[in-house]
Amino acid sequence: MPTIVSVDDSTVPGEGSSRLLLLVSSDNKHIVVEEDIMSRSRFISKQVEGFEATSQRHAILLPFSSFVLNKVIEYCSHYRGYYLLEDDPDAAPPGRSPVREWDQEFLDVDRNMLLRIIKAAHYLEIKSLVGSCARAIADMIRGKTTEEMREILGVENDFTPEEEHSPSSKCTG
Amino acid sequence: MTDSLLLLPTEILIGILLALEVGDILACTSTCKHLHAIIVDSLQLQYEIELYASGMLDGARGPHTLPVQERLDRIERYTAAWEQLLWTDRISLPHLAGCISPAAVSGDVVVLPQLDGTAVSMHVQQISSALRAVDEYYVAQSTPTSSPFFGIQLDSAQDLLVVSNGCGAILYPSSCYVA
Repeated sequence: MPTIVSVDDSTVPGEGSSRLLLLVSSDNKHIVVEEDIMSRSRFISKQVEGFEATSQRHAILLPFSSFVLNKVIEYCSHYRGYYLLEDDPDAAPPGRSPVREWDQEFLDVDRNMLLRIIKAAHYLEIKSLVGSCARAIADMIRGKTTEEMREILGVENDFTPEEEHSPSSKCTG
Repeated sequence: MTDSLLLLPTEILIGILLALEVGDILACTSTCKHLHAIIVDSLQLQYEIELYASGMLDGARGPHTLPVQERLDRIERYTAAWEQLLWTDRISLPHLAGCISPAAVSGDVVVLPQLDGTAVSMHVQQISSALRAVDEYYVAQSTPTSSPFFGIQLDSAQDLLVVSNGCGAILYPSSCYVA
């Protein structure tokens, strides 16, 4: 259980703004963010439902750095109030459909950062961001040779020479 | 230090692979055993590969109207039927009884000429196919003409029906003239 931190009603600004959430990153940075910005995250929404059920609000500890968390908050802030089809629980996976232009620019980061963002998005259950990251990673792999793919994927060739020369074992199974 | 993408949950890896073209998915199977296993075990990815190999595309209703397993089974039945030249269905067209051969087939459309005395009319019909999940649909019947009739050719992609009358050809249906 995360430590209970007092984030009481005094942190709620007036004028109908949403409540505030306290997020704590793995590097122990405390980030305050409006609840409705983060409502795109299924994980956060479930936490908030928990708060309402127990009438007790506490900080939400997250297993990734503030650098990554801020990036995710930037994404959620950009799409605040927007309905994105991919976030629908029943939505089909995006497949080869193109990445939104804003997302493309937003995800113009190096491979390792992209990997951290997709992990964080998966943890936070933000389907639209997972989908955009997946397609951005696919764009890095597309059209590459097997050896280049290994480098991007970060894998070693563990096929024996015989396996490598027997297409039947490697194709569709 | 680069982390391996294989540390990602399998569903995410499949999401990445599904964003690739089939050629790239197949190339990924040769990168390492783990990714190979993921691709072979994923029904959705196998469907993408089989669909591509069969030269077909998902229908206009989109790929999500049928479960993946059912779609994969359909491709298998289709491929097997052509490989073994199995008869999968028999359709009788009662309203076309009395049609004279030869008929012309193009795509899933068949044209059957029907002789009534000296007049010939053309029946155009889309043929149902359980294998391809196409419903039967009666398209049109031409007005009878009394020109001599030798044979027909149909190219449904070009909307072209060529009827030989022994001295030239009649083109249906966009224009109707003797060539």
